[in-house]
Amino acid sequence: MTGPAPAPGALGALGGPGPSRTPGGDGELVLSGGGRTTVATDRMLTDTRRLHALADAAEGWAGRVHRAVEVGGHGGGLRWNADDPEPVAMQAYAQLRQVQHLGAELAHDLHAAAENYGAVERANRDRAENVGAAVAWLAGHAAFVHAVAALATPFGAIEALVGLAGGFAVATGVGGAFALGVSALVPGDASPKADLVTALKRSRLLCSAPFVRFLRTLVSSVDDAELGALGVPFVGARVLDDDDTGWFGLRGAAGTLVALSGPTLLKETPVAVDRAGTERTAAPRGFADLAARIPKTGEGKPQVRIEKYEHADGRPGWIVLVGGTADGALTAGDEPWDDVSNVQAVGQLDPGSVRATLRALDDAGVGKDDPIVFAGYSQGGIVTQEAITRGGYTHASQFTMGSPVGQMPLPDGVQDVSVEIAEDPIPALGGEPLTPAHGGLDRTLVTRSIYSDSPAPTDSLLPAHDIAGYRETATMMDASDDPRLVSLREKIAEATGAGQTGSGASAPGEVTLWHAARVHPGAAPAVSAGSAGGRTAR
Amino acid sequence: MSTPSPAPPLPFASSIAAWSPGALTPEARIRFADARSAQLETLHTRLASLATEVADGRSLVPGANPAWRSASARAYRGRVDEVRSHLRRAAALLDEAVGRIAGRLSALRVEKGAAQAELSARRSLALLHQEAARGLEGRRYE
Repeated sequence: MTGPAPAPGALGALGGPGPSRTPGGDGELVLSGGGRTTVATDRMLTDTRRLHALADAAEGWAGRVHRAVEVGGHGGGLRWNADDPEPVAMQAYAQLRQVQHLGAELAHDLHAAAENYGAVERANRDRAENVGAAVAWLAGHAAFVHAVAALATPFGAIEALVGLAGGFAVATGVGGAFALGVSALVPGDASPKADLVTALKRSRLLCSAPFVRFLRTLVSSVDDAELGALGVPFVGARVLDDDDTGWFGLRGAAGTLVALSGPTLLKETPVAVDRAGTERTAAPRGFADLAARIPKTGEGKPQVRIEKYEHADGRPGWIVLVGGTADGALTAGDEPWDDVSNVQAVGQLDPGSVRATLRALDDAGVGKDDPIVFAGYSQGGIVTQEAITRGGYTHASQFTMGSPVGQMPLPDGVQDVSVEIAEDPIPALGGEPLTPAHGGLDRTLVTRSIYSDSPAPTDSLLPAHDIAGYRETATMMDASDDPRLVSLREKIAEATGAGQTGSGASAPGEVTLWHAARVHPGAAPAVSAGSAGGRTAR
Repeated sequence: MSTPSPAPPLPFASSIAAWSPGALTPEARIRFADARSAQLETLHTRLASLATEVADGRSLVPGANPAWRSASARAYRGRVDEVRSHLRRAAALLDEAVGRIAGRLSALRVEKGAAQAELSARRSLALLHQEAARGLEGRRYE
């Protein structure tokens, strides 16, 4: 749905030169969602709250001045002299009324600007999505037309069938393979792709915000190309949009990729889970603590960290932290945190990393009704989202960083805060967020641009995906008093039992680290170096 | 028998007239000074704490954000400055009102003292009048 961009608010664009520019181009936090239609920088939202508070306070002060002067007034028809205090106090009253009026007006205008930013962003996104859908549908439909034309030739039926299948596969593959290509470059700079990687580093293409937006649109247009290749009219393709059916789009493309990719490519295996270690830790207090505790995945390293906190009433609460992709392989090796799991998760199939995490949760004794805060980075965000959905945890909250979860639904009532660096292409692999009608505003999305004022470094392929940028953002989030972020910090306190002690402090938590490995029939599974026993398979 | 002539106007009356319509008796001026002092002390209590709160309230005014550089942002900053200016003026006025209360209380103490002196003088004068009247009356009978 495309509509005209709404007019800017009374304040116009605070962050840039034009009304359509999203605010926060200078490293500021930009918050959207969480049940709201506004898009605004944390600073704008803070100013709005402060101005509202100031207007309320000024109203109270003015009322007190008025009452004080009335009570202490002369009465009885006597007049104030020029050197009496009351006339001056009444002048102060008038000034305070001005503060009240101007403060409320300014707060209202800031809110209107935030609403307009939100409306402009949604309109721009709709426009990009529609244009992308039309182009993708045309490309897919060209294959369909070619196939129909081929019917008139000898062996036309065979050619048409091949053409249709090819068109569908290409449509599915372009977006999927492109996305996988970006993803597969993440873990390392192996020699076969070294030249490409070097060129990409120098170009800074993969960490440019326009490329990230293009990638997001491309990924979201896969379903239209598929439907065009199947001969579905454009209007029909839009009606069958993935938001409504879930049959096509990213989920369908991932499923098709898995189905068409042969006997081993992108195919899942059983996984085995080991308790890799235990330790004690102080309770996390906010987003920065969660970000700092995300396991750094790698060969033989634990991928899941589970912290248990005994509450004063004897009930446990949990913090579950899941790391990102450790292996860019498209064929199952030993590591479940690979691209096989990524594609399987996007297709909402049966990713090994999700099964391993669910097994670790079961083995750690996490109850379905216990308060839990899940935190995941990159693939870890996909894993936590799927773990919450499949595990049936009823008191779960989630914090994801750099995860392509835009089109993955969460159960109702799960509070979710996602962070995306504007120049990070990995979250864009999740496509455009769901529309508001399909719960797209439920997730609180925190975005931040880190290379708008300074160029991205060329010594890393995806510098914007580096967890350091997300940790820095998490620290900024801890300093914010936005109610949506405050609410998740309260969930952390609830999970660690900090809210029960009165002092706001929690007892130290018991940490278990979990390492998962794929199990190949007939082969001995890899075992982590620090295995503490308790292996279970899933 | 003649009635005593009215007392001549006292020099305090002109200053009393500055803050009250018409001349008042010393008793009325003392009552007024007491009542007004009580009022002003109440007002002082209320306005002094309020002046502090309003002055502290300046921390609620958003500060300038150097990252916002657009024309709209400049307009926003201008309006925030306007709010800050009104609040600063309110705080200054409340401070001035509190200062005036102290001044008025001091003036009222002076006025009350003067009224008490006048009252005392009037009473003495009345006694003198009475004694003089009694003397004249006695001399008439003699």
